[in-house]
Amino acid sequence: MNKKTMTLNLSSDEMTVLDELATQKGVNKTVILKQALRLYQAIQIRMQNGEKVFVEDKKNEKSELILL
Amino acid sequence: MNRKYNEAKVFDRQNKQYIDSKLYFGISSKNIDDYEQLWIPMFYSEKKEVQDRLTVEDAHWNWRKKVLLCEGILAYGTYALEADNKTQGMMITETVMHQSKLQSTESLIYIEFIASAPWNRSYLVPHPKYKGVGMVLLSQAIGESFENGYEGRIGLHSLPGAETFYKNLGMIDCGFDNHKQLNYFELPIDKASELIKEFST
Repeated sequence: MNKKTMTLNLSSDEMTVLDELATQKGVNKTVILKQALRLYQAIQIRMQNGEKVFVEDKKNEKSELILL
Repeated sequence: MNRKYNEAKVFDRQNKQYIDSKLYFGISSKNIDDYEQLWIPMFYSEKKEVQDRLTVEDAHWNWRKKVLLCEGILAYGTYALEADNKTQGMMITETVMHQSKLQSTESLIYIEFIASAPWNRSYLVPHPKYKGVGMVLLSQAIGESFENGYEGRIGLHSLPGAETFYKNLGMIDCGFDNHKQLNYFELPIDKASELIKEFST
């Protein structure tokens, strides 16, 4: 598989969140960013196909997820 | 194009020895050709003989179409196991959109589809060829789960004929899913570690 490298500029807050997520999940920051990209693309494709993505709270109430 | 692969062993039941196989990342046109030219005719020619015992539950799966639908979507992983220059098994995983039913705050690797070649299935042929194809594919999914920080969790909806196989592996039957009309099975993290250890020895 062809691998490419890039430099990513993050704010201190963004880096803190990335660090926290990586620690929480026990993986490195690259894995978190790859997961985020996969998730973003998967949701984007569904929405482009006219599907809706919902978040359900503990009371089973749904709110629609809006992506930029 | 060079395809990335891992070496794996499967057991040749007829010659009673382990042989080398390759687990490829990505399902190629060769794998789809094998499915269409070698698998499908066996599903249907053998089917009459086994009709009374069991139908081939995945005979209708269109792997060409499934692989095409996954193309370019990063969340899907496609895998093909080759031995003896033939496709012995295939699997499609999904890596970010499924949550664990055993631990609802955790994610897992969801196995969308997994299948072994018909000549490896004991209910289809009197002398099945290779043993361990499903386990190689499942181990890949478990490994993928560890790489993603999901601690080995994997989940799948099982066709009725495969339920015993998954139960014997230690997967938990989480019950009937009305949406899929199949039982949902999940591998807990302690079992995942055990299976990976067993498989690597």
